[in-house]
Amino acid sequence: MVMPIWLSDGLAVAMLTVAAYCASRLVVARLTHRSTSYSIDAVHTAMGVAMAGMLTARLVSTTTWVVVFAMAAGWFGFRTVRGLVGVPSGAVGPHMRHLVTSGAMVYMLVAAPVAASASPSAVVATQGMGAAGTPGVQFPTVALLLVAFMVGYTVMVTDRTSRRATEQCATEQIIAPRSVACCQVAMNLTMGYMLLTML
Amino acid sequence: MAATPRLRARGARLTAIALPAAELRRLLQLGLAGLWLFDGILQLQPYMFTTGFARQVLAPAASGNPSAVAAPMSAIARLVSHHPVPANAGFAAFQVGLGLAIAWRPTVRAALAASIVWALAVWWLGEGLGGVLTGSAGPLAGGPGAALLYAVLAVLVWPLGPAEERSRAGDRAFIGAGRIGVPAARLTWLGLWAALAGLALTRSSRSAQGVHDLLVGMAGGAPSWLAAIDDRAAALAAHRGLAIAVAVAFTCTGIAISAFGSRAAVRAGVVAAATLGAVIWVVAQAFGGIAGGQSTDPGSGPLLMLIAIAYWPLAGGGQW
Repeated sequence: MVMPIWLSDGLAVAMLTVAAYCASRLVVARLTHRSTSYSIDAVHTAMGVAMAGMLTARLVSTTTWVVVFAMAAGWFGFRTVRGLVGVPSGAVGPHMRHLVTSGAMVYMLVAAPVAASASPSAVVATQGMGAAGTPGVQFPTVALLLVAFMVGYTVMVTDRTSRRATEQCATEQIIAPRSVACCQVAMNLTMGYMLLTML
Repeated sequence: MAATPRLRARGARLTAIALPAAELRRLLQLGLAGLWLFDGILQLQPYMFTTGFARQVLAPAASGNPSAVAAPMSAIARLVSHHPVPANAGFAAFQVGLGLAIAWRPTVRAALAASIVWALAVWWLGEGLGGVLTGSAGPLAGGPGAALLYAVLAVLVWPLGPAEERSRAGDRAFIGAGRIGVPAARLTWLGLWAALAGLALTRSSRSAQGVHDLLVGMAGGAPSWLAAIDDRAAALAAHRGLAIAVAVAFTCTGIAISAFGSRAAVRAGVVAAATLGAVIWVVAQAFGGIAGGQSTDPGSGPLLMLIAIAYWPLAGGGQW
């Protein structure tokens, strides 16, 4: 079963928009000396580009992307552990959530449906998520759990954003914190959908 | 003057009672929001954009229903069959919007109201009233329809204003009674679980191989560990359909009347309801069959669990 082309292209455009916006945040923060979370904006930029590539079957060098997101997962895992053992390195929750989303990217790249005579990553690179739904996805339970995580994360982000600006944003004057939440919502929903269509 | 500290102390106690209730209600609202988001994502599956959705999901639900119920369902199925892409895109966008709007605090009331209307419309036009009139859907198969349970949950978790939350803290026994009151909430619980007990005893539910066939069907397409559970359960259920139906009906009846017992009885009923919901969700519904690519919702199990939580007796709540 093939995802409608207009849907995969539309989602790809949305992901590229998110990626461009997050990249621009890095530049603006640098030029204006305002605060932003560099690691989160950087990983959002990478995720947006990679997801757009997966959606439109134009992903170049899957192995490179696996390494990128594995490194991102390692970085957020390190920050999470530091937070858990009491080293002051910011809140644990956001790092843990980005650890999971980076891990989800790795999962999507390596556990895509297995086609005959093709490696899993090659399927994503050559057919794109639009061709997902063929049988053979590896570790489907992981995909189900990640979909549930993405939905829960989306609900949590939306609720918190509507309640108040986060304390971190209020004190550090992070650039447009609500726009970051919107980007996260868009990415989470798209990622949840991509994971679901892999099943 | 002497009364002021006492009033302040009383107000502090009421606030202490009200805050956890408000937070628990919000958590249930967020659970409902998550389910709507899940529905929206499921509605975007490639299969839903084909005519198969109208012909194999919507149209069959009309069969067996009275003509007054079936005619509008058939009309909707035809409409969706002729325009599957825009119709389905609209359904998906609306459901994702409902989820986000419930999670977004300023729009929660409007979103809950819209979700009630939408859920009831889906229950009729998409699920054929959950098979209640045809006797085709027992509680294990999702009866009386997940969409109806969305509407019930939306009513139970309707938000109260801060002042209302405080003023009602003393006479509120559980979250579900917040807006509609204790008697109506108890009747809702009684009606829901009595209906489930009745549906457990319909002809299709109590047939010798009914449960077995249901479990075998759910095993297909499920992850291997879940398929193994379903296969094992199906083997145990073979030729025991009547006994299982009676056991489920007996359990549902006990849960239904528990709402009118003591606080301990209510707690036992809520635990039993949540446990039964979990068992139904995992074993009988395989998480709504969402791995199969044709599921429109995650099943009735999570809704039964959320509804059960809405009836958990609140600490310091009103008289039971």
